[in-house]
Amino acid sequence: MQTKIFPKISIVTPSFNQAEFLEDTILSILSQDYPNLEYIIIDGGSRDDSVDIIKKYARKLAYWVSEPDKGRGDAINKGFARSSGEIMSWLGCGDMYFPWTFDLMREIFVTFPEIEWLASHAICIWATKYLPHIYGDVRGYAKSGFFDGRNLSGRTSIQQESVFWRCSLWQRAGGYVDENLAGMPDFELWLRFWQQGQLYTLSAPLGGIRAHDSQQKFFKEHSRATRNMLNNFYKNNYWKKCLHEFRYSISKIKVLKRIVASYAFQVSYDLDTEKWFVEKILI
Amino acid sequence: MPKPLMPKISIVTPSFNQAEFLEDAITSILSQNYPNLEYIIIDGGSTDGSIDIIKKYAHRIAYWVSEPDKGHGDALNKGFKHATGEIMAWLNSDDLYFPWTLNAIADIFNDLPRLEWLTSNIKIMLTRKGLPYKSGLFYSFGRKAFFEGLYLLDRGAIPQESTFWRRTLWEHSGGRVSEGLTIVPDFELWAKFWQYSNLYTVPVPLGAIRAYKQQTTSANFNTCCREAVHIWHKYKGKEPPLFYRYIRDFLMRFLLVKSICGKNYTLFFDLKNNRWYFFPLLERCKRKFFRKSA
Repeated sequence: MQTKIFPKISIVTPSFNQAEFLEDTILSILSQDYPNLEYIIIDGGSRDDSVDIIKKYARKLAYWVSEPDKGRGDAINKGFARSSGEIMSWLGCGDMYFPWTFDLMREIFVTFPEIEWLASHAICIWATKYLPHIYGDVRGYAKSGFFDGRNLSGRTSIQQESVFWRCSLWQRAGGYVDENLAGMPDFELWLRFWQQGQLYTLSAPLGGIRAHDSQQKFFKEHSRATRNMLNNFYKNNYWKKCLHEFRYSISKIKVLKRIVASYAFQVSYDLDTEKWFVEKILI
Repeated sequence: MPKPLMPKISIVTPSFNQAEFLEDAITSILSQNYPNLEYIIIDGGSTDGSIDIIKKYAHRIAYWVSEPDKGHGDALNKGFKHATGEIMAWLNSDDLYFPWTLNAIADIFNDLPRLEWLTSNIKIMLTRKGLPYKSGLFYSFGRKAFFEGLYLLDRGAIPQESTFWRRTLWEHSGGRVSEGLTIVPDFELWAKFWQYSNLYTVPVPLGAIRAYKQQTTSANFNTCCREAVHIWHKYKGKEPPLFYRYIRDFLMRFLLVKSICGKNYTLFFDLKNNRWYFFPLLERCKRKFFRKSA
């Protein structure tokens, strides 16, 4: 009989003064009882009772620390420097996974050794700790679509909470998160990942952000930040940038969409043979 | 804010020879620890290990019985006869609820006293092992569209596993499901419900179905569709004229005009006041799920 393989999953949670939501995040990860989990919490020297909450679960954590740092990006880097898992991701404070996330991850990463980067295209917002609102009008993410700017924040963005990647991809892409960016360090990481590998998507939800009131005012800022990152990427070539913006505007017109369509990779399940398979779809 | 009283929820599970999946269904309900739950299992005299599984959880089940019955509809009627809760639903033995389902249902029915029945516009499908592999988003459901035949089985049926209703509506519409139909007792029940009340839709996943080849509905899909059409005609559903259908489909597909199907009611969660509210939508539900904070 084939024994079950459990690849090591490393999750990092950067936290700073969000004690209200921290416990929900920790429980959504630890309550899944994944046997080969490495969970790391990097606290930025919180002054509320975050540290007490972390201490409560310290027995199950691979590493935790509470000291002042330079921000979210710095905390994530510090966490991943300590990690040794094969599958990696970070989960912000307050954000939550679904009860099935790690089992599903294991199944897909073991079935397909060639998949290095996996996301879900069902977008989820947790209204309270037991209320996930799910919506998803995207069918996948394509490489050329990304560089055209279709996945900027505010458009059909890739939700960081439901993205997982292999260590090999992380190493090839430099193995760091940009610390100087105030918001959306994930978009800059995706920019490097797309140059190194291919994104596969699932349609089942994997994780979601937690809605709180303070979030709403950042939407405009994030949108501007991601646009700047993409512009920086094209900064040597003005015409190339114009071309991609033109391609994006074509993709918004329903009749002409086919001209700029490209392939996205989706992981689906075949009912007859009861096996997973990868599907190429035009988006 | 003090939490209001938890209304009593009655769930019936009809089961027949599905020991493989039954335990998942039972634990998905009981592990939520909802304080005012009435859980009923009606077994059709299974010969596999089903009865042992039920006995394992018998101390937390309000009523269970294992004896031969006349099918799915009969088992449900037997179960609902013993149900006393204010909110009712049934969960087939191969489907699942999520850990948040019962709490969410209780909150919604508390916040909106006029709401009679409720479903989710997210459908989640599970593999045989119980892992979700697919999730799909529906539009919300409207009365006019039902009688125009948009929710017949092959055109996007109302998901049974995530539908809940109040006892008042159940008693209004006869208080029983049809026993003659072996396969789709739910479609006829929805047809009865539509006579009395609007269906509200919530963008939170409430139940998941297991998809596999031998599943009852997918194994006899054509028979099910034919039965559904028959019932739909019986309850005053009428196929609109052909030219109207063409115009409707064109407007819906290319101009995204959903208003042609009448009002749909979608529920939203107000983060600031921590309660549910609704308003009628003429289009598909928008991407903005939260009311903007002032």
